[in-house]
Amino acid sequence: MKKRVVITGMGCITPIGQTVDEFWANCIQGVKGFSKITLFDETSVKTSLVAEVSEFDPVKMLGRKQGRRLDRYAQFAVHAAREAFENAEIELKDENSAKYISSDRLGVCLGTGVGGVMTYEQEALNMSEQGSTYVNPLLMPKWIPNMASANVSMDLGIHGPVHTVSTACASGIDAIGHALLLIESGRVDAVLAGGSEACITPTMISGFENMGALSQESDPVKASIPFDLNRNGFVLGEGAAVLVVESLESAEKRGASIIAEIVGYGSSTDAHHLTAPHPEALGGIKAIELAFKDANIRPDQIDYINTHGTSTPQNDKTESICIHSVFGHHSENIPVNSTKSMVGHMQGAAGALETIVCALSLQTSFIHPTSGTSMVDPECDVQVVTGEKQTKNLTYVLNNALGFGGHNAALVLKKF
Amino acid sequence: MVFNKTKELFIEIMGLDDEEVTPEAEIFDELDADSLDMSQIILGLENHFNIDLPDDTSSKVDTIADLVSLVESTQEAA
Repeated sequence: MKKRVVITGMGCITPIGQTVDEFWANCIQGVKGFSKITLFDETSVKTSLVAEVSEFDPVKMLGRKQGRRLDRYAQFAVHAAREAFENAEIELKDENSAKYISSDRLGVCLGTGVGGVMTYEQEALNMSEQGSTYVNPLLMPKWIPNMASANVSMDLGIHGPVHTVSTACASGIDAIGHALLLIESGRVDAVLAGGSEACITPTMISGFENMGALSQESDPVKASIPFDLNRNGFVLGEGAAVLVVESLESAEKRGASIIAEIVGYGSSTDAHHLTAPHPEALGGIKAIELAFKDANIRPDQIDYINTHGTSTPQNDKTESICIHSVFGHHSENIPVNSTKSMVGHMQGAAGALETIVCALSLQTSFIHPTSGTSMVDPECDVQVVTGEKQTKNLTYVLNNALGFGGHNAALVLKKF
Repeated sequence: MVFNKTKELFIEIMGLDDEEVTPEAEIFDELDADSLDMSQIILGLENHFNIDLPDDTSSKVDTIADLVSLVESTQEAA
């Protein structure tokens, strides 16, 4: 019998809030976090809008030396992990404390799409402009993709399994899924799971721009409008989201506050195309069906879907096909939204932040609006929440992700 | 000149305050430099002065003044 798994802590840093409370307050009001590029010379690219984390001081958070030694994506991870860890009230040192978890029974599993690409890009520039001796000796420990997880373990003193998952846009959900497997099997008591990303760089923007994935809108209201008839691509975002995922047994023993239960996880791959999802959404459908099987529920028990909803023409259409195929007529009763309408596409962190949204929706009964979406595309025949937030009593919710490479992931959360 | 560049590198790489980086300051015990700091600082000095410092530079110096002297003697020997 697998162990039941719950969420006991959450932390995030996003373009619309640097704590869970601040993020959620803005999220339910539909605040869009898009602005002009400030991280580099904006004139070097055509795209004008991004979703940056602003006013973030890593030196203040990590100290003057460590603040300089971590790539921005790892800094975000540490920031979010600290909040989640504090929120879960875990004690790692005092064995006599009721809140105690042995540090080797606690793990970390974070997702990232590209790791410390900001560092890599700068050093590649140093190499080409000045030569090999100008490449920083800290290049490797700053940019490799495991360093967000590794730095979280060092910052908090965690000695259990510390892993990294990279499945493009599905990384955040898959990281939580991996944590689930570690806990359900009894290998660990809890995992700090989630994702982090900081890839707003000239080269990354150009790559996405040249493949036609990014919105070229200059009006923040009209950019990243998932499922809208006039949707025109995503806005590149950044940030991190981390959840403390814990066995129910451990949470109850510690007297922890339980935010929600994670009851199902499904993962599949299209094996079809580099970037495009399967036209009939076969992989996406499979991931959701596997999550339902894992949760032992029927599709008609789902009350709300937090979609992948990137605002690209193809994704939103395919995701709608996927929802119709899985839910049939019941899709008419399920409100759906996309958090990316406010924070942009946070890549490897997206699925993790959206899991936080699902947990908060279960807790508060609020379903945030898909900000900016006003005219739903007839080809996306799903019940998109637009305008104001909706209030609905929720029991089961679904979080969906589809990633480049054909990765599909789905997570089912239940009210606790 | 060598001192000024050395000081600049310590401030830039380790985030130290201006007044902390004195000739007498002990690099490891006082300023808390480690091997990752030193690899960056030594590379910075080598690039700036176009010299090759010895592989065991870190074990040959205690203070900022020691490091400055080592850079100066390496320049003279070149």
